[in-house]
Amino acid sequence: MLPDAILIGDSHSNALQAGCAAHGLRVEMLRLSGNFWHAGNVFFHGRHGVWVKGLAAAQSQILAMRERLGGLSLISPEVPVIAAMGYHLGRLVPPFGVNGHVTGAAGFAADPGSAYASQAMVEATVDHFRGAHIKMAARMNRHGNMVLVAPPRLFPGSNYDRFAQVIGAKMAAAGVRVLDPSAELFAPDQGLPPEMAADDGVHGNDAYGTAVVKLLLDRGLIARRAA
Amino acid sequence: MAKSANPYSDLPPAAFWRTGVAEPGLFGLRDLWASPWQLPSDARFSTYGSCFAQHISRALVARKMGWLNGEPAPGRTPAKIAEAFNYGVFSARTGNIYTAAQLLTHVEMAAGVRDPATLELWPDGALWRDSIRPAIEPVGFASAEDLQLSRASMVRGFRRSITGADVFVFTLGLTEGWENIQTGQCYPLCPGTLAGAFDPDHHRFRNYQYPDIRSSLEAAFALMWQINPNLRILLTVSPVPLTATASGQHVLSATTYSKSTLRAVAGDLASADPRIDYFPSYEIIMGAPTRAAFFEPNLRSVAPQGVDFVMSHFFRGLNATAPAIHGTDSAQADKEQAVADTMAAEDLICEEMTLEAFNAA
Repeated sequence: MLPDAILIGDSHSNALQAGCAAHGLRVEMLRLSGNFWHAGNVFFHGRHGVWVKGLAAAQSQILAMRERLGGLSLISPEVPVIAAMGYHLGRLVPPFGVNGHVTGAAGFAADPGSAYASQAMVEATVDHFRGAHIKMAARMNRHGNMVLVAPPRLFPGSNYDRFAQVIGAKMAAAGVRVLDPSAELFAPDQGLPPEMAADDGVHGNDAYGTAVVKLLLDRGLIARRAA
Repeated sequence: MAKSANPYSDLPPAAFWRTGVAEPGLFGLRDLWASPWQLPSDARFSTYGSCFAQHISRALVARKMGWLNGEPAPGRTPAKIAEAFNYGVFSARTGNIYTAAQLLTHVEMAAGVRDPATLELWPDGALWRDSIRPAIEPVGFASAEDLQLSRASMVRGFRRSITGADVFVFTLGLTEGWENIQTGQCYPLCPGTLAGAFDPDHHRFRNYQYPDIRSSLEAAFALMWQINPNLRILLTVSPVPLTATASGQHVLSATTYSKSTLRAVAGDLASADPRIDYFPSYEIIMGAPTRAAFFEPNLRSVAPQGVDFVMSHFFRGLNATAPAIHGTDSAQADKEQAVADTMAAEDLICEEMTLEAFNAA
């Protein structure tokens, strides 16, 4: 029996997996380090759907998953994909700010030692580091039935926020269906509330995942497969 | 008639054209410049000015000397993006500063006596261009606020490049410029050429004369010394001829007027104040010994060999033999280490998560 959905992404997939379990959904998951995604080691594959360069364990996992799917590609119209990929902000945002760059007026005013990076600079940086990911998501979208779930908003008005917005907008412009749970679940200008945050403070917890998956179900973006 | 002792009797060979220039030839030229300052071995240089000034930045970086970057690119910015956004060209993202009037505007902003927000913003379709740096980004700014923040950031960087420098190197480029008739704002480029729109009722041509240029430079330097009393100022004149003149003269005559005026101001300022010096990049390229050999076929651009030749004289004359005074920037190093540590920790967590995916239990 095919699963209700396939989760493909980075460490933010954990909360989504817990949320799926909480809603009684059967899922398969391919979860890879944000570092792998950032480095461009994960890419779209015509036969497997997704392939990973240089990580034999992940390759075995993909092949095993395909067997469980009856030979289907991980990306196919038959099984919806919940993707948590293409952002990987933890790899992108901290280095960007190491010389004091901020992307918002409030941050610039608050710190006299800061520098401002223009919107065009942020977009150029995103194009360079995430252009391939956006293309990959667009291909996954074209070959399957995918919704991309944006990571939870952590620090409103921060570089994290700005990069997430720019990546999300570029994903949407490439035809990717993007769900930004923070816009739906949190008050405007509020970040991930403590009751929905994992212990590390940068990932959503099970409660967050449960709320996000409810959004996906309510929107009809995924559904329980009939027994 | 017998020769008697006179002021020329004891002058060195370099004081005479035959022994200083004609006989040594181009590659035998010696002692063209000797810095009057003994700088610390880790001296920090800020560099600004016209196009030719970019070569000084690059040469200092190439020699691993202390080029001060007051407005570096965001961390890990790929080189091609940094270049497109004019990071790393000058010590802050001012773009080319061709005239003394422009330099004064930048210094006034850095000193807090001119509000950067009062300078013009130029609409460019749905985007915006900065009237004081119209080509600073490859596309226009997304909004007026985006532009103003970027400009304010440049002003911070420019101020840092004054406060943190031992030597402020400024390459004078042009006497010709354009300004707003009502506000007096000067522009790096004539409105309407690259961005903005030319309006004869609002914009006028200026061919700044010696007194204007000297006055602007003196005002700028006075403000800079208020910010950093120990700052030394090294002036040069770009040997690159004018691309075009709006003076009504032939461009060759206009170039000679422009460069001669700048050279005279620079020399007089250097003579008048021990904190100011002049480095002869103009003479090295334009002087008779080169027979214009260092120009590209367009007789305007300076060939890389010419730049190298100029810089060889620069480094030969530099005296950076005093003990180091700056040390390393431990705060910045700490910041970079903190980011590296955070990312390494995240790697560890994420790799563990990846492994957990294979847990069948």
